[in-house]
Amino acid sequence: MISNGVSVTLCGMTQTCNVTSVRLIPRLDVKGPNLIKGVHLEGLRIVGEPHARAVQYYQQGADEILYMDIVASLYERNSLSHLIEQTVRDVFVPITVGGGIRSVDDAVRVLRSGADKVAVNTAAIRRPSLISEMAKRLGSQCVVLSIEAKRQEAHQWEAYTDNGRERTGLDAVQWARMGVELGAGEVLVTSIDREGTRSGFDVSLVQAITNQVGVPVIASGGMGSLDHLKEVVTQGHANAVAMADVLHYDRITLPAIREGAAAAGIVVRNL
Amino acid sequence: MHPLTVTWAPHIYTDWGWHNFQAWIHAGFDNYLMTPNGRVHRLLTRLAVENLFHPFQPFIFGQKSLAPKMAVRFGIPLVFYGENEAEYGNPLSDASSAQRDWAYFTAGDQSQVYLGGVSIADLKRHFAVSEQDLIPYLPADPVEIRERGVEVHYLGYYLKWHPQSCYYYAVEHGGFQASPERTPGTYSKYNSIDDRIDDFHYYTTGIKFGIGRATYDAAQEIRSGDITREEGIALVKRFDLEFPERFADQIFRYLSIPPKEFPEASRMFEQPIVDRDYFTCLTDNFRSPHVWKYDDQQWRLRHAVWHDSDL
Repeated sequence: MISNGVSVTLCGMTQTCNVTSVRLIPRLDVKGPNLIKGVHLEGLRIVGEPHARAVQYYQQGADEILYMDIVASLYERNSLSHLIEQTVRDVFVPITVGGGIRSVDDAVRVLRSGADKVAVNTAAIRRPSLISEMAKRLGSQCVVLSIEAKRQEAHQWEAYTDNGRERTGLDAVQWARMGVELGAGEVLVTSIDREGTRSGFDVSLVQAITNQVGVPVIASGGMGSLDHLKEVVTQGHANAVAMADVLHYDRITLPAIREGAAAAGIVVRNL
Repeated sequence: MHPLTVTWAPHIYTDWGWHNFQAWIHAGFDNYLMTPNGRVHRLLTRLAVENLFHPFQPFIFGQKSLAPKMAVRFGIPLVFYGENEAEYGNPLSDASSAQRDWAYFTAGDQSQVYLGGVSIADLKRHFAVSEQDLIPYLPADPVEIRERGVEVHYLGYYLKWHPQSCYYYAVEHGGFQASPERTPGTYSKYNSIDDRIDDFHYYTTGIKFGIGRATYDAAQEIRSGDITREEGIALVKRFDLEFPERFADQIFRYLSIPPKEFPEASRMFEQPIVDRDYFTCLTDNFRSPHVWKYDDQQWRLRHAVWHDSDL
């Protein structure tokens, strides 16, 4: 879809996006050669080697893989090309890559390395038209709007950049709607308040966004138990769930999560 | 163990600092919060900025003396502070013992004690500060300390001091939350976040010594194995010595000594009211010449850790 420059929009309307199964997506935040994990996106700790973990999660039945380059904003570039090239030789589920994507060319580079989708945050906030440019050139199906949201008061969240460090003054829910109007085909919403805490997803945040947008929403931040997964899917209407801490620290395995989700009546891919 | 916790209050709490403090107490501690007289504390802090460019100096006096004094009062023989200052660059000889050096917080002769660069005698004579006003800043009586057998130790001497682990522990067990924004001058948001004047503590240190808060944070995280040296250097280049804009106006007001509130003390200052120009002027006066040079209309560091890197 990259070369012909034709826009391919898979999820233009709500109805078409009622995907039947909820996707389970291991999220791998990467810093240089290391897989890292934080709490509230802070206090980043080295927990492993990203490629090995991606392969392990793939073999355990991950529906997709999410790579986030955490030092990209510091160095002002995404430096995961080598990792992506390595990963796609062993991992045969869709891979989304985010961090440091500043232009359509950056996105193309990441896709050419083998990624299936590209996630943008900072650059899109600075210049929202980037989303449209990417959607036109590459298709909405591979443009993921990544939103880091922090609760301000009841039912209000602010969008952040730089791994939950810089405020933007933007309302996260309105920004999600605008991003989708501009052409984003999927929204990844990370709750800074819940991230790394294993205390459950910010269900009302996810719900507020799924209410506003007609594209799939990936809930991220807070997964600590199967109940949390069930909550964010049934009440928040998340189409996919990103998880990191529970997997990286071997608290629950992916097969156990899939099995538990199915037992709780959530439709997941049948392996 | 049932430790009594005692806290010397920040100059001006951040909202999240106050929230974390409450969460910590409610996680299961008794606590005494000592908040020094705001007017006296402002005056002493201003003097410390004016004379030493060190807004935290009076705070540190109070903080270091509070726990031993409370221990004497309640008959508690064992006092713990957190990490040794040598963790952050103070002389290593400080770290040779678990116990704090008594000289820090006991003094037999008050005439030897200076606060904010002014002797106690001068504070009383020229700044309308009374003996009573200074009690919170003065050390415990060494005789009482000895009689009660009070010992002050550092926890960092017994447990490996790893700030990131403290953060994880505090989140897990103490309801702690990271700051909602990056601290100016650095990349972090989990340490030293409860006092609005903290930004200026690191900024003034940076002016005097050429290393800012990102250097302190990065150096510590490199030593702890949390980040690489390469990343640390990039972080220093990006954030070190950034001017702390967010609370600046409030801090300038805090440091001001208006005649109406301080009729006598205000006369002792060339410019009692701190505004941006005055603070800039003060800043430039404290730039050490071997650290800074004025070049092409701006101050530049003569040496920075990133000068030799590829960044």
